[in-house]
Amino acid sequence: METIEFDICGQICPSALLTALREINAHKKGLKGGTLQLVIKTDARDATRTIPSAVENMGYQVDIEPLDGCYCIRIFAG
Amino acid sequence: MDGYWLIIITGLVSGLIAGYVMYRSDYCLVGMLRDLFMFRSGTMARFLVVQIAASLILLELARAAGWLPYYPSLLMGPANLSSVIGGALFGFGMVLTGSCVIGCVYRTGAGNALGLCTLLAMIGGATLFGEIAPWWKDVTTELGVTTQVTIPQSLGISPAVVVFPLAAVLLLLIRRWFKGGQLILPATARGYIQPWKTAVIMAVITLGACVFTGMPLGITTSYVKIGAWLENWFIPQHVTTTAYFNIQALEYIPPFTSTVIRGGTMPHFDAIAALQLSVILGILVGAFFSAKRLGEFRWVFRVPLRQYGLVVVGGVLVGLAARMAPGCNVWHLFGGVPLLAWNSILFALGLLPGVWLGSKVLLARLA
Repeated sequence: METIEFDICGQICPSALLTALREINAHKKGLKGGTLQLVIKTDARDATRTIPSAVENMGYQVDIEPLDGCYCIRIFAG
Repeated sequence: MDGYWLIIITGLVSGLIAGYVMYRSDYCLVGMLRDLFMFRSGTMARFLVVQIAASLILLELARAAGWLPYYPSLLMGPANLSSVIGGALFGFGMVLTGSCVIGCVYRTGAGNALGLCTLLAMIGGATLFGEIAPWWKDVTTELGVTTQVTIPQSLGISPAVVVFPLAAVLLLLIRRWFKGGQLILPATARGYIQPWKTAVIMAVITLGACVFTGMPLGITTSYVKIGAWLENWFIPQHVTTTAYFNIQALEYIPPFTSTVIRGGTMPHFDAIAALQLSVILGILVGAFFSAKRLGEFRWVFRVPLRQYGLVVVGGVLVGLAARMAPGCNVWHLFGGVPLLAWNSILFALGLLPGVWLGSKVLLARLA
């Protein structure tokens, strides 16, 4: 499976959520087909709540892993 | 106890607690309002309602018990429409920066480089206001609405007559959210504190500030002081001759003390510095410990240059607007609105169109 990674650490709020929504739209086909996953690294604590809430409503799955001072948010097909 | 020590201790303790819990909840006042427009989400705005309702009740009970010697508050002026203009500019700027006057402080404490840039830009904006203050004073004299400070004063009734029915409506709304499970957020962030708890804690902090210092938390007058102090290093003549940097805004005896203390925008330590710098220092340290304990403190400077530009422009606007209003979102939303102060309600009304416009601009820049 292909992984596209974005490092949004330190960026202005709500960059992490906007990046997630933009990239889901850009890679809809790969995500739905299960050939692609998105990984967003962010230190915005609020993004660990807003991204799952927005993305799960769109039919994708999310898992979140704490990672060396930030969070690794993985978005993939349900 | 000497007047200075009481207000310094109150500010430090308030700031430490606020910095700690605001970081844990990511209690962002910008997000609360911005998300209403940008994502059509009222999730975080609910907690602002919880905080205002709790403050409304606590402050009224304290007033009735005679704990607020300077009710409604020191430094709260009569209703003036300039607060709407200040609020709109403030709302626009704070969305561009992604944080407000208190948000950038707790983010700086947690190691956020953009937070630090925002803080410096706000100091710049507040200082810049000194150059336009005489003109703005002329504008505001044309925009006065009433000489009363609060709604109950204008109506000539006891605050309780307005506060308790309003609180009852808000409590019904909060009960509905509670029953619908909308006040508990699913969270995976380490050490997350549910925002409703932070909302209640912030209401208690506001009460403590009003009881022990005679006024709610304030921050931005000290930004002017810092700016004037820095200017004084390089162009002392300019500071001496600029009227705005020589205003004594406060002269009072803090509660539980007998010493008169004075303060203003001047570039030296005084009552304003004691009141506000202690809060800022407390928030920085509280947020630092909060982030450090979670292993989340680290400076990240590698951010797109455009975002540095956004926070500098937004920060300068927020700093300017906070002096135009006068007062920031912390002063008005945490303290003035629960005290039913006209200017704070006008500021809140102005915030909404500003936040709406800021959301449009930010979305175009980031999306």
